[in-house]
Amino acid sequence: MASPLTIAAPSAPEVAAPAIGPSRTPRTNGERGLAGKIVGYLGILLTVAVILVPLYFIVITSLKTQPDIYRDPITWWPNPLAPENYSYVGEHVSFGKYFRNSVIITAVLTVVKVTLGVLSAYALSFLRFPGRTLVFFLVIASLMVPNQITIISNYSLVAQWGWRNTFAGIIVPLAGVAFGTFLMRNHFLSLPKEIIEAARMDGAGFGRMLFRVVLPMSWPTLVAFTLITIVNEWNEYLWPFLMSDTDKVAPLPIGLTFLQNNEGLTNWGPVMAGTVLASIPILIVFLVLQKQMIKGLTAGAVKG
Amino acid sequence: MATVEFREASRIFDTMSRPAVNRINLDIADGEFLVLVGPSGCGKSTTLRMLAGLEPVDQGQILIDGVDVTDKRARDRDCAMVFQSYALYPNMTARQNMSFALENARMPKAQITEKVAAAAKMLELEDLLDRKPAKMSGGQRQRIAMGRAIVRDPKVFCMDEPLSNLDAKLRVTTRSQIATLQRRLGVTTVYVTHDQTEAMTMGDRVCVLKDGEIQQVDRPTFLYEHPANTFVAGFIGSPAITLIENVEVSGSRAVMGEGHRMELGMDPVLASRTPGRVIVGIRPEGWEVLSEDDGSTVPLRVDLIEELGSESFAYCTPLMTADSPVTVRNSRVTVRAGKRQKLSVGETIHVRPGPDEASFFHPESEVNLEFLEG
Repeated sequence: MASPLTIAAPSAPEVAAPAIGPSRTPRTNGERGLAGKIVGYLGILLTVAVILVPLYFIVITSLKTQPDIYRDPITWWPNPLAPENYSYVGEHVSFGKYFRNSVIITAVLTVVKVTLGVLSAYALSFLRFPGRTLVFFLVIASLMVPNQITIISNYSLVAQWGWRNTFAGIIVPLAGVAFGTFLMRNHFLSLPKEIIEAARMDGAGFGRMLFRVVLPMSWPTLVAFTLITIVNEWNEYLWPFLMSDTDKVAPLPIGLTFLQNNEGLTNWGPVMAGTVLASIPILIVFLVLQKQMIKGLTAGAVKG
Repeated sequence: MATVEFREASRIFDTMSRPAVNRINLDIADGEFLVLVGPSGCGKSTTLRMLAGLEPVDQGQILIDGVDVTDKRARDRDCAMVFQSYALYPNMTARQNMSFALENARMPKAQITEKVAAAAKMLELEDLLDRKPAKMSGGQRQRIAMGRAIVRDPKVFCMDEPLSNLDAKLRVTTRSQIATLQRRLGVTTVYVTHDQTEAMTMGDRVCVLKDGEIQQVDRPTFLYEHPANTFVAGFIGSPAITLIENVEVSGSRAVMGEGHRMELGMDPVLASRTPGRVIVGIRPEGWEVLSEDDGSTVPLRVDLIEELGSESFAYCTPLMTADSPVTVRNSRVTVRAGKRQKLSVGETIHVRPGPDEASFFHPESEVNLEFLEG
């Protein structure tokens, strides 16, 4: 599209339009709206395609037979349909066990992280103590360090404690919560100061202040924080991979690699079937919590 | 119910600059309605928050009912506060908002219900009890905030500009409601406002603050008629008082220029307390408007007229002779004209102060001469 700022654009008649006089021809809102809509929809289509095509391929690959997967040119629809990939997953790896491990690890980590995040954020935003800002900067600083850097020292420490292949070995080192502290603290500080003061004057102690006043005004942020934590922990790969080599405590992503290894990296059908199964619980959690998040966002728009 | 005392109380935010509240001494009687008033940034809200326990007292003491509460937490002071933004808990219904403090105090449920019902009846908000703040109008929220303070039966009510978010009409009705309610409950109340109409109409006494320091504390009418200094004179009263500076006094008359005098009716006792020149303050209603110069008046040119129906105010430029040393602060003289007095813009009028209408201030300290020792 020719930009109106292009200098060498003698062919653009609308630039000379003012000389013609009163017969101005402004572009109507409808035209602009239509062009805008087309651009908008193209943008959406592109975004959706970038996200959806790989997902689509995971799903159809999980339903393809081995030769079908390697067919050239690639096919966009499984032929023949091979739903047996799914039963194969159930039979050849202990999917149930990995699933259970994932649920345990994610649940414990989410509870611990949300609790620690909320409590530390509360302290950093509502309590006055010396070094408060310094503590907050330390928390921020820990966000700046990629956890791959600390993973070797963590590993040697935890392995020395004999925590390999235990839930504690996976969970405890992952329970640090800098991001949540950061997010919740900033949210708490954005709450109307008078309401906190009103609660203080009304004699609210710590518990009632947190659960009756602060958290009810923080649902959207808290739900977002919880959701991010759940997704992150569910998909956590590197640390659990180092910590576990059996189905005793390994979560689903590690289980999927066992599946891969079993098949000598070739039989992608069952691996993709496993991937689809592993992502379903997170999709459900998303669908449930998403509504809460939106509800909270609109309710927060009106301050009491 | 309680007395409140500020003893040399200061709040210092930054040691490098002037204290926000500077060594305030103030005694508030039991059941009194005291209004703190002043321009923005004068420290009135900070003073209130120091009393409520939301702001630390850096120097001095605050006593409630004779007990030093300087180091006590807000929740242990038994003060209830009504905030400018109402600060209702958005997740709770009006009933829950009002009972929150009582629940915190572990009051039995039946008693809470009873108290909330009584307060709701008093404020006529029974219909609103199960509604959340988001579903209420500004006036309704304001009443809930009042209710939340009332149910606690506190020793002191602290109110921080509770009417400033209401529309003009509602503000007038609520103003009288709060004043009536306070008299009925008899709870010591400290009320912060920047609106001097509220200050004049609501308070038993008014405390005028400027730059963290108390300028004057007195009954509203006394404050209006006998302002302690030019600041109080200018702040209290609307439209503002006219301050004429550099006035030489000769006898009871002011010399406005060569051969041009204005009758002031100044008490010779007061005249003896000045070095010769004074600042004269005359309120808009203190002027007598004459159609012709009789030798004791000042000519004014009318620039603007505000018609309020029952009265009108003329904003005028004084027409001084060129050699006159006299200046008028803000170069404006405000004159109130009665309903029947028709003035028009551009017209020249002749005015003089009515008997006993002028206040006199010291030219340097700007303190009212009445308050100075002879």
